[in-house]
Amino acid sequence: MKKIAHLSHYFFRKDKKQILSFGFIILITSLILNLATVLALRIDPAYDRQSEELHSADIDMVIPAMTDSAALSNAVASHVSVTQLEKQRAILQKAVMKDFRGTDFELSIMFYNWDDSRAIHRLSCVECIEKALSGENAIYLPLYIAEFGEYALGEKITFSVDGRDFTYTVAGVVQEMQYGNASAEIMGVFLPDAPYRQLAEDFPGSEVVNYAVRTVKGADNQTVLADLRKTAEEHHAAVLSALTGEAKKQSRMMVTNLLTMILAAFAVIVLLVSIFLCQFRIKTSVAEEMAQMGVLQSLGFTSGGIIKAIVLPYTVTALLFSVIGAAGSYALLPSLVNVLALQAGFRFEVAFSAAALILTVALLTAVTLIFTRLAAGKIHHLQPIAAIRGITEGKGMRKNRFAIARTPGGVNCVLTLKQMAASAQRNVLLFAVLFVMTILIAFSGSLFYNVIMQPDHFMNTLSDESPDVILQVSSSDISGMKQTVGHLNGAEKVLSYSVLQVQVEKENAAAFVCEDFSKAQNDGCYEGRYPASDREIAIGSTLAERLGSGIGDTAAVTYGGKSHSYRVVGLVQSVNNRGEICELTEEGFCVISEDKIRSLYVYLNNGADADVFIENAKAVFGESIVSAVNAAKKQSEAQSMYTAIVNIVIIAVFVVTILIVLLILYVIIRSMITQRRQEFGICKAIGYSGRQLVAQTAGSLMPVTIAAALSSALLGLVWLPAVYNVIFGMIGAMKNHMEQPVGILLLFAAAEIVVTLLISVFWVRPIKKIEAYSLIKE
Amino acid sequence: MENTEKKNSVVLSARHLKKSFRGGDVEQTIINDLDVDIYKGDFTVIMGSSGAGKSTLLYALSGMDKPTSGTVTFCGEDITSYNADRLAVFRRKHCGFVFQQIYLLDKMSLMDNALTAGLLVGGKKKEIIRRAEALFAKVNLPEVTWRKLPSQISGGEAQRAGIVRAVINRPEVLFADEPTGALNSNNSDAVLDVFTELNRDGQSIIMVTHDKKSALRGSRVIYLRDGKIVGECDLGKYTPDNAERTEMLNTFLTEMNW
Repeated sequence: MKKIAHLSHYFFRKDKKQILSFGFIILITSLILNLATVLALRIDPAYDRQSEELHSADIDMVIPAMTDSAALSNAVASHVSVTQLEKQRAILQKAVMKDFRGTDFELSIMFYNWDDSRAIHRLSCVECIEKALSGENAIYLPLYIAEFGEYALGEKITFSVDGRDFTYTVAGVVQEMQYGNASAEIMGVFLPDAPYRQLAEDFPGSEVVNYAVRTVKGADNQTVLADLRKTAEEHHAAVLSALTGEAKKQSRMMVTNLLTMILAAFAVIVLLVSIFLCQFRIKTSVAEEMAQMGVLQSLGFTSGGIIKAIVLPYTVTALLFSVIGAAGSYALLPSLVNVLALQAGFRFEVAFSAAALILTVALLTAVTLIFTRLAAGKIHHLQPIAAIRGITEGKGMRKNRFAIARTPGGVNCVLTLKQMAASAQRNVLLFAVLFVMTILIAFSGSLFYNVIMQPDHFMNTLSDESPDVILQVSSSDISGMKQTVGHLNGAEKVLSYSVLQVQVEKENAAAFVCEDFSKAQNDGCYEGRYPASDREIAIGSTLAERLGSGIGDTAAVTYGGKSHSYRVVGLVQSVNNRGEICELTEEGFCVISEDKIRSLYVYLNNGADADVFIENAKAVFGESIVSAVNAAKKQSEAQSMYTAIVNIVIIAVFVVTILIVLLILYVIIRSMITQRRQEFGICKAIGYSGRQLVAQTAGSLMPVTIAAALSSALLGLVWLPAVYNVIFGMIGAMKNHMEQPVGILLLFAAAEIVVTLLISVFWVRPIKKIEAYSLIKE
Repeated sequence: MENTEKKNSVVLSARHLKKSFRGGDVEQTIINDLDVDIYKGDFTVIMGSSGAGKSTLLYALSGMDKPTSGTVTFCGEDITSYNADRLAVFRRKHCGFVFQQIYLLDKMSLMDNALTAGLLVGGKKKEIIRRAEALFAKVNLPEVTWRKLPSQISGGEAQRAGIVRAVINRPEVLFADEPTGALNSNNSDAVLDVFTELNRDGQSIIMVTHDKKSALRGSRVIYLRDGKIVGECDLGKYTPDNAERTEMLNTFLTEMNW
């Protein structure tokens, strides 16, 4: 054992820099892998723990207060899966939250009474002003609204409800687990008793009751919810909103889960690179040290002993650097977790995870051990005397590739090709590494194009129809008003478009009603087509699944007590509404409602300012405009957040790619210089300058680099759509608008090629220092 | 008159040449204040005991190694002031090298080895290929051989290919460092015959050897001891097969305590 340790130490000293390069790649892998593992192992349980601490409901079902009854609550409470029920009164209103992250944000708000006691959905004060402000204008905001909407303690917040503004002072920020994030389109806020009562008086009939239900462990909450809906119907209570705990969790944890998945994929790619690298280095090391191996064997070392001595430094390095990398990940975790916490709407502390550390370190060390052992296996077949003489299989089979006399081009060019053809193993390694790194580059290139250059591609996938301005109007002459709005300065197109709550069969759904879907901008129809007549309907993916309906079936829609059946002609997606939507033409909607659509979606010309347009519209129509929302600004705010995330991803990918290419090329070029030192000396003696040899050597890596980068980037055209389909499919977007621009993919690949060339030239420079005379000295 | 002619035909000249190596705190001087002129068309042989500085002198004269001090001038130009890249250009244009270990590029055929040097200077590829073919014929290496890789031929064939590579650019001076040191007797003779023929065609050659048989092919023998020239013998006046030539070299070497 001592002998092997000595020999191992020798191999480490000899290959010190290259083993350390491998170590750094393992460090990067470990850092990313541990980040992914900690997120996967810690955040999900943290969510569940927080949810349990606040005694959150498994199902929330909202019904109008006037339809609530003791009989209904008894029936709900007596459901076999229900363990606890608490009825929570609230005021449900569609409201526009002013100055939410600098824009107006419209969503359904449940105004709860802060002074009501709660056994379910308890609230935990993150920061609250005690007493002093809890007067009539106080409001307590959930963490998500406070942090994401950028409302600080003591600041004012204004809600515009049905054309009236209600301004409150933020008296506290609470941790709640009752609602999802903004994408759920419904949030809860908390008013002290006095303002709550005032609001209830202002909007009589808007009081609702939330049935907060806890179910037995392991219950299928979706089925239980369906039962409860049925019970509510039997008791003549309309369900205005219903959410399961799972749906809330999915909504809040979407970004976290996506990021965890991306990090894990990233770690696997870098791990592949490190496997290629250690295999290459060990194989070249065995070739370089062939004679030494023979001498060692002749001295009595067994093949197994030599293999152990070679494998040991790599395994120990992998062990040490993976521990360092995993430890280093804790330096990045707090900032990463802060971003995720903002999205998830709850705060969590990242504690050290021994399981993640053990998993990361064990995986990287085991993979290193296995692959280095495989790479060193060739030593088993070495015969001592053959090794000493340097006779290896296939040596005599070498061919004079790219014969200078027959190959067109200058001598430097042909010698570059000869160098390239000299090592298939090196080419395979370089190709493999650059191919996988280009996968990341292509992904970031595609994100750059779809999120930053053409943000509509990304936003239209996530959002519903997105005009520039939404006008809620009170005028009875909607069509006349629509025409006038269309002639206002900056308007390009105006559509009657509205979103209402309806029931489709027994399911609640958001109904998107439009005068003509062919004129709408966002195409979310992933199967079939949009409704075009008053007899047709398109339904969301979740709704289709729950109803067991598809294209060709009929679906009954109920609104305001009136029902009508429509033929399903298409399936549509809606990430915001979790696929619980339907789409009807204005004519179709008129069959069940005499109410006219009182909402106009305005699309502006390029460069037109939405705020200026709104001012003009208000000046023209005065009080006929109930509310005007700068939807472009809202979209732009959301977009700026995604842009920031994508910028971080692109920078991270480039930094990691550069680091990995830097380390890989160091190992490859160092091996090349070691193996070809004499050859470089001969060339210098003949009269080749250092610059020529540097250009030849760096240039010899370029054909493989270019082939790998370009082929991988172009293959992105095939695999990127599949990846996007999986990613967006996970969040309910069956159809995405992401495009794969060949130009951008090639541009990013070209940037990678240039970086690789520069790094190659940098590492190849020591060739300049090789003296022709060193041949003789050696 | 003869002296003036010789002075005009000096190709290489070294003045106060010094080369020393530092090993830790100890400095070892290999060449010490040496002056020498190399004349055009001469076959200069450098002899001396081991460690006398023969190879060091050869490589200092060829610009392969930088002297510690002193100057080396080629056709009147001081090459010791050249940087590495300029020295590379100097070597490719004006020098040819033949090594004891041959040092052919092992992944290239013999023809490619020759062309690697031949095409470096420039010129039409076809012409250079023809020149290489002619040289291979001259050193008795047929096409079937020059298509082979160095690992597939004998040492003598490899050294003759090395000579082709060295002279393909028609260098002013051919530097040979013990070119027969690793060859058997037959192969040595074949290589030396090539040298003799090249010299007969006007090629200036500087050859380091400690083989008397090889030295006999030279026209001028310089003897080195402790980094200095301690003796010189002019064999040029005798024809190669002349017995007096052998006797004169024997006497010279005896005087030098060889």
